[in-house]
Amino acid sequence: MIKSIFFAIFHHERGPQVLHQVPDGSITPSPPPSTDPPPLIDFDHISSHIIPKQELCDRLVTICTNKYRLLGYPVCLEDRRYERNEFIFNFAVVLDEDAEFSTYKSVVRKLAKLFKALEEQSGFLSNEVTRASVYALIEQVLEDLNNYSECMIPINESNTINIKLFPTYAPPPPVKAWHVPVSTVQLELLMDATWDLTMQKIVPHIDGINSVRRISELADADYALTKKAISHLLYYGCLTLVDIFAFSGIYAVTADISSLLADTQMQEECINYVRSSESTKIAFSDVFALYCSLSQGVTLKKWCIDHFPRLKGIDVRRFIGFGIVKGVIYRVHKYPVATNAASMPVPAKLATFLKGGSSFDEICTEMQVGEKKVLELLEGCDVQIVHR
Amino acid sequence: MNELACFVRRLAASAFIHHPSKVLTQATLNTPHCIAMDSLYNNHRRYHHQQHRHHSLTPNSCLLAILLITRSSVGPTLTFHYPPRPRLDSPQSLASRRGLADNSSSSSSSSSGDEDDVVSESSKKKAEVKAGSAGVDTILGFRAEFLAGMLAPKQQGRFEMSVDDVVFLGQPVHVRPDGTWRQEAEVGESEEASDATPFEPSEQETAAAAKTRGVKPGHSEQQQQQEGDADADDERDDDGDTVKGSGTMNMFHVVFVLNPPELEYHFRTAEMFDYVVKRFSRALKYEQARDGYVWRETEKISRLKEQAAQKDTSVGDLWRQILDQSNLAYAISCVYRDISQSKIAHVLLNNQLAVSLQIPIVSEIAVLPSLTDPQVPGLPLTTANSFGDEETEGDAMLAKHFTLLFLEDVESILKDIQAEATDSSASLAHFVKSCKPTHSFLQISQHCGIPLHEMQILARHLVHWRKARAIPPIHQRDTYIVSPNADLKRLPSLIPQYAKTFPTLPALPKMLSLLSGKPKPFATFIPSKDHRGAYLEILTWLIRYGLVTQLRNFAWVKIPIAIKMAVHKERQMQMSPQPPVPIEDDVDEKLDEESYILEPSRASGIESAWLEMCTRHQPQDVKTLFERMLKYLNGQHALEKIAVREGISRKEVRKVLNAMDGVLVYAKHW
Repeated sequence: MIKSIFFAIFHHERGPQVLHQVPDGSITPSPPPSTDPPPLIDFDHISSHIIPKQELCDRLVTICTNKYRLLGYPVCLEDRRYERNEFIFNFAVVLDEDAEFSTYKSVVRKLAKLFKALEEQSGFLSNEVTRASVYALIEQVLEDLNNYSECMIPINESNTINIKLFPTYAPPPPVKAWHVPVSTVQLELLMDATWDLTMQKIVPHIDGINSVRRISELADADYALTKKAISHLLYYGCLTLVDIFAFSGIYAVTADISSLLADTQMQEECINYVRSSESTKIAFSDVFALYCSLSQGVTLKKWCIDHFPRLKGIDVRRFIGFGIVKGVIYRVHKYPVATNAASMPVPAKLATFLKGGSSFDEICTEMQVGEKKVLELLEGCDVQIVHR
Repeated sequence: MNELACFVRRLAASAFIHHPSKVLTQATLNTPHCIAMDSLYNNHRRYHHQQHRHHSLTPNSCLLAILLITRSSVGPTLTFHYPPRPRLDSPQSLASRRGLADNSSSSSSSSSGDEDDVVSESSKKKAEVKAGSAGVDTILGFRAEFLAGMLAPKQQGRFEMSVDDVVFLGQPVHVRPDGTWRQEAEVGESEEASDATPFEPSEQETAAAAKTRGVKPGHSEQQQQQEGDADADDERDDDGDTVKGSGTMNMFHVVFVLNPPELEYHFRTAEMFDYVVKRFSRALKYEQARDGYVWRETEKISRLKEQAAQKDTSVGDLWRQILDQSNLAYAISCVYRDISQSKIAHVLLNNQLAVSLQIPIVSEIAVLPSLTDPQVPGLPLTTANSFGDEETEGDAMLAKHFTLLFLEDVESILKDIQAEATDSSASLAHFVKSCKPTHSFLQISQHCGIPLHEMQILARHLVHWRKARAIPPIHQRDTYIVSPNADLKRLPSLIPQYAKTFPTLPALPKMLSLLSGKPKPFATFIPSKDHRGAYLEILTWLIRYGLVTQLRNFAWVKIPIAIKMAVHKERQMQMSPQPPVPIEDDVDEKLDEESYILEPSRASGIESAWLEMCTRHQPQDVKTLFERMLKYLNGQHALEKIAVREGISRKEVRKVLNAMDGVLVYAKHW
């Protein structure tokens, strides 16, 4: 929430001056008689950071004072027509000190660049007549951004203030060849003809089963581009990543398993997702007990045989998928570890994977061979299989 | 109490002082901050799905440089900065920009940073500019004079500003209107003083020790030369007359320069400010008030810079001289070096006041990061955290059924303790020697005679200073698995290390592969009784390196439909004479499906009736024990705890659980 926006300039006689501020009196006290609340900050304390020396001009400068954070982008224009041959101004935004402010950085940058251009074109800010309209403009910006997170305010025939607040997301996790993307939205519905070509090629193959490598093969798309496209979808939260599903895989519960029992909404979601058909009726209490029975050291295949009668109406693949995505279970990976990887009588490429850091998923995807084949190659070697 | 003692106690509550700069010099504890660390940890659990919280699992100080700004009547000056040439693209910041998921072992590889900037400086001497009067021409792209002006605020209190992605964080210290630097008994810090009261005796000891040392001759020669000046300053201070001509300082400001990733901005700046900036500034303020330390050091550094300018000394040489001769400059360089590597910084200010600073790190996690979460391989994974456990006395104590797992060799910890001969170090050494990861505090206490309460304080101390981790005692009958968060990429370096420690026992990959199958009690892997000790040592080693974690059992009570029907019928029979009045929680009965009782110890009316029906046909002893065990059957408590906590034998616990098997659902995790 923006607490205030103000416009300050350097006055050749009076120094840094606040010319316009919304709300009134939020930065410098309004002249009496006034019923405005006292200013949020003491402008004198920070005026040298709002209207700074050359070094800080054309840079994003923030300063905290009195529990508020001021974001500004001071601009300095040099021209003979100005007193002292320069004109310094700043449009600053005031936020609560502990508020997330990264999205507002672009706001002050944009305001600064736009008004800099206007000033260069027509002396918009240095001319006292045109400058008077600044108050209405910043008032509108503050109102619109706080209420609608965007604004589109015409200044004159050729200039408009166009701002939209975008949330900042974390960088996407690294995508590996053996990761399986699962869509969290209906990508086909989002996509249109203007989307990137690789994206259009790969989206039909994102089915929660295919690995990234497999998707690039099926879509006949470049692997590096496929990875990039998937990173993009991850960044916007349209995808999540899971492990390759296999009946030879081992699954076990995580400490988050109890969250499933406490969350009735997730339970309903679970039932609807894991049942083999929509008409089947399954009880959550059974599904929960089944999750709890997953254990280290037992392959899914063996587990299915052991629990066969209780799996009626349950799609095992979806059962595992749901558990993984929700974090209530995890896949136990297998890692071949050689005490001395260098001296192994195996292909050189395979030897590089035996130091302990590579799972079978990685090895099989990178070498494009099956697990069985890898095990055959390792036969007779001093290699231990570690489950993690 | 003398002033120093007062102060040390106050500061100890916030910055943990010891004397001189070794870790384990005093047995006092910094309780509030251990809790802070703990609540931090809890936050991670709570906000598991909030990404920006996640990032904070990985230690990252984002520290680029430390600047010392002083202001005298001639204006503000950048007196000293470290490193001499701060880089905007420091290794840590690069790592954090690359995305933390790939930044695999920032906790383990913390030593890979710039060990010694001065040395590396000298190697590129040819490229060096000669030191001007300001030392270095520009710092972080700014002229020194400009930086000094920008960072000399008129305001009191926390200072925070940023230019593009670089943040300047500090706490300026202004001279008071009466010319002194601090009030006799400053208000506002009283609450910290009261926090420290439980540990008052030992802190007084240390304060006294610090006092004697400070006065005793025994500083370096150079320090003794200065003694005259210092005394003179003291006298002037006593007279309340500090005006010393045009050069007198009226403000100093230690500014920490950071470049936090955008999404971690608030978190990183807050932790740096709370744990480092505030405490370091406060300690400097104390020494400045006591004998004009900061100003004396400032003058010393300025003199060296002037001389260097005349002699055309290179920056590298000048910085070496400054670090050599100025205690404050050296302290700043130590704080930079250690904090930027997420280590603990120990400095001895004015050869007198020992201060230790650290940004607490997350030492274990309960939630396994998913593929899309930032990875933190190697961090121990367990829900067995001893803090905030119901049996602990508040949050201040480690649970008595826990024990310590040392993260270093006991010998090296003992050496650290012995480097310091204080009254408390003897009992600390005794404790460290007596502590065994296979015995709980309670057992150790009975064995070695240290009162439990004292032992828990000592243990807390060791945990806070990263010497140990609190764990449930290691037991051969418990089950252990390869931790899903183990950092197997470290194996190439761990394998030889392990082989050196256990030369005659199965190799590390073999041990890990043993623990990879279907989970079994550890005892089943021990070939004979004679091997037990050695195998438990291996297990301890594996847990210390986060390779292995305990797999514990959790249980919930699930009420079968038959029990529900029985209760329902019984209730109807009881009610039949009267008109049908709805029973309080009739709606929850749902006779067509089984129900889990989420909190059996706080069961509702109908749940109690179901529980009663479940145990109705059990013998009385089972019934009684089951009732006692109910509070553990909510999926939050490991069943392994019951025996220790309730003082029931493991066998009996098993008997009750077996008897009630029909209504229990088990899950195994960490």
